[in-house]
Amino acid sequence: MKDLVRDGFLRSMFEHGMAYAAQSDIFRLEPCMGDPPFAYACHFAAPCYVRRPSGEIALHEGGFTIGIAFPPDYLRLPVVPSQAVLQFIQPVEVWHPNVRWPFICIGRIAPGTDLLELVLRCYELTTFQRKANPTEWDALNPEACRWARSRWPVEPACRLPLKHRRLAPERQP
Amino acid sequence: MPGKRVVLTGVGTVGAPLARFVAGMPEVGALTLIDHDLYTESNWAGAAQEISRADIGKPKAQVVAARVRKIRRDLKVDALVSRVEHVPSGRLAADVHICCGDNRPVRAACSEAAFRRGTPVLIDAGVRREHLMARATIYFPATPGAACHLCGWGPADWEAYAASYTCNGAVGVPATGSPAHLSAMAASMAAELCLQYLRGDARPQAEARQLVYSAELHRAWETTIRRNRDCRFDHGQWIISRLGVNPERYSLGEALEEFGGPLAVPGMAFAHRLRCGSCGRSREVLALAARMPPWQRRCPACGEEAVSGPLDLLHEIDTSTAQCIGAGTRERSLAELGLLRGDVLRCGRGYIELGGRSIGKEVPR
Repeated sequence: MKDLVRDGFLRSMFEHGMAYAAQSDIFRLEPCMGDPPFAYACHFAAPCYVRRPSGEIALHEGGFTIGIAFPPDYLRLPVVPSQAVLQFIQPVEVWHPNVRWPFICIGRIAPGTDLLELVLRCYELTTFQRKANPTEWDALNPEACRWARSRWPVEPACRLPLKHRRLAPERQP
Repeated sequence: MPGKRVVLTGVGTVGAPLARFVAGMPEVGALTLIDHDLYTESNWAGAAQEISRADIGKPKAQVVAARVRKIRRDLKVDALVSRVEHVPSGRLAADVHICCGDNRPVRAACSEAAFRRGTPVLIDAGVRREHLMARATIYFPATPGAACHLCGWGPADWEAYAASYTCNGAVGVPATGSPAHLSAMAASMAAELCLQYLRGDARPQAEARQLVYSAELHRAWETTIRRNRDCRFDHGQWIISRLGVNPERYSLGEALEEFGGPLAVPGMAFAHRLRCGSCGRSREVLALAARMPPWQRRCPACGEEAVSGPLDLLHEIDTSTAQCIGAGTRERSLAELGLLRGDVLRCGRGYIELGGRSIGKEVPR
């Protein structure tokens, strides 16, 4: 019982995603499951905030990874909650109002939302380029929400755009 | 025609009085009540339902079932404390399915279940605070070209559907705050529609009939809902083979061989990994995520609750997956994976209901 529409969507997401990743030195896309892939690990070479075992909130320079998996009904129904599609993989100590490892909430996801839109929203949210959830009652991590409110607006962990490429000027002899 | 079976989902302010009305109908022989919720102080304070202080903290389905049993001793009453999405599809087999859920995801799930199973009648009842409106709608899912509950939804409904969930994943719909007599009105309208069908006075038709009464405006309307070509639901009906397979004695390996893989439980996913949000450890499992008991979720290292993310879920299992997950997985019984009698499996042979009434052919062992 092949769903040709879904397969076509997944194939197109794969092609666009890989083409985008090839143009960025911050973002790497790794297909995980299925042919065409329906699950990806998105690696971001950008810092994010973490809480150290000592309780100190610090910048983690080692990058972060977020998983994306498209459920069977993705083209039909709104994805609610967004934890049904997105998963924070590492670092485990990530510190953000919208993240309670391994869950991440980026708000409502309309049916058939593009893979790259999800990637961009995740990146901007995690690095605080995009505003985090300011309401403690429904934040995934209310403690991080209080922390963020106490230093509003939070200094972005990274200001680089996702489609970023370092210049490699040719050397003249 | 005694012995009709009615399933009632949601026994809150509308469903509780409706359960009593349905129980009083001599045509009804079996009644199944489904609600995952417990009575709280707010239910008692509102005095919308006839509950006592002792009922607070008890499952609504069980409290209402106990009350309904007193009305008719010959009525077979079941109470399922579960979300309707997680109830085995076979338990939803009925002549009439009535939905009194207070949120759109529940109503969508009831509509889908009724269409998938070809339930003759689906009745949806509810109240709205604006203009003090009570509403009851009757659908005929088994009729060709019938409209479903989602056929009447516009963009605002889908927006409200998405807004039903909070960031932390819970369904967070504010109470309607409607007066109890309005809920009783909606229950009365739904009961009348149910009775009309059971007595043969309501002829099945493709269009759904919706009755709306506004207590504030003193007006009543009857409208029809036709099948929407742009409806997001495919309106497909499953052809289900009912097999006398006991999930406790049937292993995953046998099911994969006999039924032909891959195996899936529509609407539910298998968790193959649990991650502890506290200590960060993960371990391999294989069980239906929605039915995993708390003890199975507990992290053996730190005792905190472990969870599964979307990358840890499988929407279907095939032979290679079962081998990858770990030794002995194929030998585990379907019950150990969380499957129950009445669950419908999608497999190479189509749709199979486990532990059914053996209408279909018994699977050779």
